[in-house]
Amino acid sequence: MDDSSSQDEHEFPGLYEKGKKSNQDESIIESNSNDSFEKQKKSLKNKADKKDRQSYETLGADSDEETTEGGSKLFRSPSKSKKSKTFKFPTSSKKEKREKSRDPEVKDIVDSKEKKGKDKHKEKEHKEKEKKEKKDKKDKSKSGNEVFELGDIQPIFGVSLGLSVERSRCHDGVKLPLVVRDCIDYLQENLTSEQIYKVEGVKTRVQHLKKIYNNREARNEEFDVPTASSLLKTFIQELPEPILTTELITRFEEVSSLPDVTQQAKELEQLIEQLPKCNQVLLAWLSRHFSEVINNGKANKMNAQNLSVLLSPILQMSHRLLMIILCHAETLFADVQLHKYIPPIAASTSPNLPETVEEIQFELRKQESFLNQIHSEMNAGFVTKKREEDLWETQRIITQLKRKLRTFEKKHDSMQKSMDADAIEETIDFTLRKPENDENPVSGDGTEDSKETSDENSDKIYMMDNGMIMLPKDHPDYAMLIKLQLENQELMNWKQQLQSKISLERAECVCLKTILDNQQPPVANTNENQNIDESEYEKLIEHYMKENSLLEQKRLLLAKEIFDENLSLIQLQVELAMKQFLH
Amino acid sequence: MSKKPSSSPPSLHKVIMVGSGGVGKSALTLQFMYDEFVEDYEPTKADSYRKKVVLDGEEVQIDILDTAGQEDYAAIRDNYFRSGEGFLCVFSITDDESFQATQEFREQILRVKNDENIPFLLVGNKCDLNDKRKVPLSECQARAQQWGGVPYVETSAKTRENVDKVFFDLMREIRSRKTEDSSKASGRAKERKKRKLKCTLL
Repeated sequence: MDDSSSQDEHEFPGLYEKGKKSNQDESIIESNSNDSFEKQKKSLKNKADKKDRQSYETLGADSDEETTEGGSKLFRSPSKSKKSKTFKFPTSSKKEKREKSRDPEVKDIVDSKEKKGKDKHKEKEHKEKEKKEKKDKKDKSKSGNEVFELGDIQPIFGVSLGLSVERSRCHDGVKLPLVVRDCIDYLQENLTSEQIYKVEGVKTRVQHLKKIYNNREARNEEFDVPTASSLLKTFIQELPEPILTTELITRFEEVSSLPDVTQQAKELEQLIEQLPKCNQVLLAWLSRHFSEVINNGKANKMNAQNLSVLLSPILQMSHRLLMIILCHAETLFADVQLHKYIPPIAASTSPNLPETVEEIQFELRKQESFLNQIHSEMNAGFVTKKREEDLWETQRIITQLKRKLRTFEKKHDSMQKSMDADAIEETIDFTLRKPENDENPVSGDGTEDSKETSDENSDKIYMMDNGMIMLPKDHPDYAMLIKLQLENQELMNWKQQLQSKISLERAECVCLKTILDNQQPPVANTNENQNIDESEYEKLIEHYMKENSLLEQKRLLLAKEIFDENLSLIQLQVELAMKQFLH
Repeated sequence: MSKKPSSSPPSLHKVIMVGSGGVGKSALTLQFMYDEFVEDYEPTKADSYRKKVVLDGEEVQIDILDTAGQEDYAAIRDNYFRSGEGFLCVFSITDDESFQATQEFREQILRVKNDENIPFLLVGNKCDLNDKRKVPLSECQARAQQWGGVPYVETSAKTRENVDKVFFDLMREIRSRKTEDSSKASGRAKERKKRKLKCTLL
């Protein structure tokens, strides 16, 4: 072990710049975590190590409320005094990493012994770790003057999954940390590589990439299969808690010993439901991805057995459990589709905005998510030229998108208005015309009159004279489309009604204002009636204030009722129209 | 100042619009950007625009950030204020409250920028509605004077009166401020150099 650490140092001077002293422990863990075969061999040794550490750890957690760094140092190298405060930046993330990377060892032990009793220990440890993490963070932000990089104070690696998702979002709404998504995306494109999950990436590269992601910098170098595999593994490994959570892991393991496969699936599904949302997503994506890897086993020579042996320590579950999850992956996570992440447009790289309303709206959501992230980073005190530029640029893209959307809406609005104008007469037309269509279900002669308006569209989609768009009768969405359009019309009507009411009330407001302006004296008169003594006056005020707030509440309730009633009215009207339509 | 280092770009001036809701910040911005006047009121959360303009014969870019007048967005406002190089503080001459609010905005900007001499214009908008004026001209000028003599300009986003003027005047202020700063900075650097030299001599 010692060899490897000194070797590391030779090969990569500067890698341990800050914390040379703790090199040894670190390299044990690092090489351990990075090489799962070796890990297993080492598990015995680790067990011994771990015992030592555990005692230190408890010591640390108990004894230093304030200085956790000291605590974690303690267990790392008891002989050393509290030194780390004087550290410069890069190591601080490593410190956290070190803490996390103990998990695999723990797992190994659980693995080899397969005993539940151990889990209690584990849980305890995790709690301690969490505590430490929090304290670590506090410490770091306290000493924030020395530390300049975002990745040191708010890292992506080595913090709870929820935090890292929040800090490094995929702006398309998939709740995965960007680094995980990028790795999976890349590996999904290289499923046939024989290196996948077999070959370790170059350590310095992986570390470098980790730093880039921790700092939320743009990654401008390509991945390769070993690097992506290792980076993904590193991320999972450094999570403070197993994906299946310390709370539920034992129950998951219990499921793995059930004899009945359908029972297994059922229980798994139920347990997964109980996981935090982001854990569910990560598990789903990983499982789907892993089963894709296995499905390409012919090319990449990786079968389920091998993959679970390789990855179960990292995922902190028994390989039996991993096998079971993989085998149910496609049914358990049927609704999850792995799709490549397309980051929000950066104006400098692609000035072309999307063209359709849906695309614009989607892009807008991404940009807004990105903007929020910039804001929260800035609010956390990370203000750099780059981030300020991002802020303005993103804001500019959002503004452009919104303008574009607005022009679409305007066009759409005017179209809708003309449609509405026709709609009332035309609905009657449908009912007259429909019977003809019914005679020829397979869009034959009968549909011809309605088709003539848009013959180019062939018999796939056609438009009625009134602007209703129709699908061929045998199309599964035929009724759906009609229903939606009818609904749309009703809603537009409602909107118009409301708008006319609003303009009426506005006019009223203007009227009242002019009256008010002309009637200053009377106001003074009412003021004179206030000769009643103070307390009574106050009571009156209180009374009316209460009364008024009650009335206001009632008004809100009633308004809501009107709204609801209107909705159900529309629903009924649509149903009615549908019935007429379909007969 | 903070333009991308690539291809010696034209200088970029960052302007921020501040002021109460409904005074016409967006209207001024849109009039300047696209020569359009939008009658409908739609509250802004934040919008940003960039335009190439010729300022005294030199091609420059202006970035305009149109902020929310409403307090609701105050949390994100500081992030924008910090990166602004010049401010147009807008109120409506038909609304005294919006005029009173400018004091608050001025203070916020000074607090964030920590600089009394930040390029700044006080802008009284809606001057086409002079018959509904609620804020006397003298009062506006007095306030501008009191703020260390910032310029006061009346505009109309509707008629486009003085719209270009406020943006261009502000850009000039930003520009002269920048040259001042850079000469100061280089001066300081020289000084330091000299001093260093002396030290080695000693």
